[in-house]
Amino acid sequence: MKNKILIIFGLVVTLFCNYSCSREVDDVFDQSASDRTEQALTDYRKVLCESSNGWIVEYFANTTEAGCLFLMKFDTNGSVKIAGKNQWIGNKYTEAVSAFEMIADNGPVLSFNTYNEVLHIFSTPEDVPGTAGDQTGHGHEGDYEFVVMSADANGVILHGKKRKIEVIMRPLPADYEWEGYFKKVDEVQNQLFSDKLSYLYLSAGGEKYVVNGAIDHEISLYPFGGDAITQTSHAIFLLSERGIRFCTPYGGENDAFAVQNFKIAEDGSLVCTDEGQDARIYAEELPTLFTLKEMIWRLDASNMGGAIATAYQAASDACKTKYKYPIAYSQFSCTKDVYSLSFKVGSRTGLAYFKPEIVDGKVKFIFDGTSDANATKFISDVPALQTFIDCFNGLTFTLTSESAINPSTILLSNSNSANDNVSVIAQ
Amino acid sequence: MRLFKYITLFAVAIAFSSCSDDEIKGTIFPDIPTEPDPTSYTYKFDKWLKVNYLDVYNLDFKYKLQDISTNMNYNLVPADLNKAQDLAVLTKYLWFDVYKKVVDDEFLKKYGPRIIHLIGSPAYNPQSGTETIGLAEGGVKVSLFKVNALDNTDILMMNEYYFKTMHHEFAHILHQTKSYPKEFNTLSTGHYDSSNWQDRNIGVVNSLGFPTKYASSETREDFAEIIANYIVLTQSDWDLIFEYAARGWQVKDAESDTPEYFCWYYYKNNEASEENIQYPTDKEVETIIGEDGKKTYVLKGKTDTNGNAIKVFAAEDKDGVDGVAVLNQKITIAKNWFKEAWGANLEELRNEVQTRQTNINIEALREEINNIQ
Repeated sequence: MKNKILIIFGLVVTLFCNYSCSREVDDVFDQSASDRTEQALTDYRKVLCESSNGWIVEYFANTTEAGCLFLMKFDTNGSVKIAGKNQWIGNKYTEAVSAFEMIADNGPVLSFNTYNEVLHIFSTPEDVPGTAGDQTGHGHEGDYEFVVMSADANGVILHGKKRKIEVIMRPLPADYEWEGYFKKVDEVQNQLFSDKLSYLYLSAGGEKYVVNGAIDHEISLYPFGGDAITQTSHAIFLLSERGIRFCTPYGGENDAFAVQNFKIAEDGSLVCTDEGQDARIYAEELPTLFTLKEMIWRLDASNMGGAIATAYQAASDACKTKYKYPIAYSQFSCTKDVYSLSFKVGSRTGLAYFKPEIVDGKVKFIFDGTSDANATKFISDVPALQTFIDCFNGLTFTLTSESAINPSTILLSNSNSANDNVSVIAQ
Repeated sequence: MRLFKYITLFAVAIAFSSCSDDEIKGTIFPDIPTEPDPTSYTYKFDKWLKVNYLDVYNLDFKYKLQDISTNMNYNLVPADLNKAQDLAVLTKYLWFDVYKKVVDDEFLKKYGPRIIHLIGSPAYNPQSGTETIGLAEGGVKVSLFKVNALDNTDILMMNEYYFKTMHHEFAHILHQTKSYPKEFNTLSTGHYDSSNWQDRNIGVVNSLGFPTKYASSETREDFAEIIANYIVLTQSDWDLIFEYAARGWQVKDAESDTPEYFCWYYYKNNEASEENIQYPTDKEVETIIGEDGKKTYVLKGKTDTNGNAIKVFAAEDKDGVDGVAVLNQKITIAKNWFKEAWGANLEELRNEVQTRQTNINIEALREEINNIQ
């Protein structure tokens, strides 16, 4: 047996020796590995330094925490200015200068090798303030060394060396002032998300999911009509001036799709830009949203039109005459399954009850004349309040909003007389 | 064994098969530049490091972190550039220049580390609840952590995290080159605790003859700690170790998972009973020296209902170890070893460090970097 093994082994050795010298093979590359690595380091460094206004950097420290944005400007002298604005630096625009280097490690690696308070706060092993548990020794566990996967003037793709999370860099357009860029992102945040709206929808691949927590960029999703406990999955994203990007593609319950990048569409909703994906994130239909029992919609006295504006002003003036106080505010709400239009006058609030009906995508108000004691007294004392209520009673209103994802302000327009309208704001 | 043999032979076969005519053009890693780049953001510091460490001591003072140079199990961040500069000039002032003056020019050139690696954050060991504040690897490399916490006005902090660590790690380098007397290892036999040293009480370990808790982990750490603490601690801090060593220490609640220890106790209103026992701090205890020179202790500024001073008692020393004597034996061995093995005077080293510690002018030291051309 031993002899057989040795014979077989001898044949293998002979085969290797003969085969390897049998013919010349053309070199695949013009340069040696070391030269090519050196060239890549030089080329990538040049790309980084040539973006005249720096780069927008989309960064996730880990796979459970919302991502964040940096702006980075690389200098040929080996310094990099990094700016950020996020909760970990007190939501204040902060910039700091440190060193960077392109090194040969796992391929070409971009290393931020001296401390930068904006970036390295995601890598420091100290406990993360304001979070549950003690993360000492771990911190956010974010990378500060990145393997360069590709780089040109249009963009750079990096992979965190330890955590392998993808980082995307885009050139910051020359017309952006740095702090102004973060202000723009804040505007987008306010444009897209409101803490007054408790959920959104994601439609993707023919499936529909309820999305909670979008305002914090750490969302939980479950199938529409499904179980919010047992069928919930989680995803994180970051927000930029052009939309949102999930840390990794989200595939729903059955991986029937894979969506990651969404841009802001004309109707204000978020539309997926990933190739071959038909997906959208948007809010509840307006009539349903308006009649959700947990919602409170305050009438915007400065955005009323036609007969509604006239009647409201008359009622408010009459209240002031009668009680020395005008109407402080008026709002639609629902308490214990009973809808009401309320009036706050002085220290008292009166409720005039109504039933909403959704008819052909519109909302019809039906006031049956019932009200609480305060409202009964108000109406008795100030008949103009009844005139204002009658601007809604029995009428059908069309609901519109400027944003399909954040309709926290809705315009109610009388379907028969569009000039009679009022804006309501979610509270 | 047989399997190993076959694998080895197979590797030889592969080696023979490589007949490429590719020219080997050196490592894939870039060469370390011989001169810092004058256009670099960090030029002045790099140049200063070259002139003061690389050229003189053949020492690479690494302040730019590469994770590959560290234990990847730790989550670490780089050192802040300004902190690294401060630590570099202070290290020269408080360590290299000391040996140069007290011993000679060549000592650290020959025995000093080849690499000092600065790391900004602590290296936490979450499972043991400890943090590593320094590492010496094979007498070649010393890693210093927590650099971003450097406060150049706080010598106690700087000693604890950097300079004591440097002297500690350098002591390891030296004793790995020339062994210290084996007698040292017998002085505290049976009192080391390699797994729970961090949970011990400082008074208890002093009383056992260890200068620090870490010294009580194992003999070689004990040796390095004796030297490092002797060099950097102020006289009053060094004396405190001996004061604690002379006391008895007893546990308040032996059944507690985190027992507390005491060295003083008294009875409320001088009424001796178990339920009246109290444990004062050092600051609350006043020492009274009688005409016969005998010491007694009372509670500072307090009397019982009869107007008598409240007597304070020292806890009985039950560990069976004369901590002061053991500490003295250890420091004597260390001093003799320094002299005999290295021709160096540990006492002079200590005096020089102590003098310099009280005369740090950080602005003047920084100017060395700012003035570099």
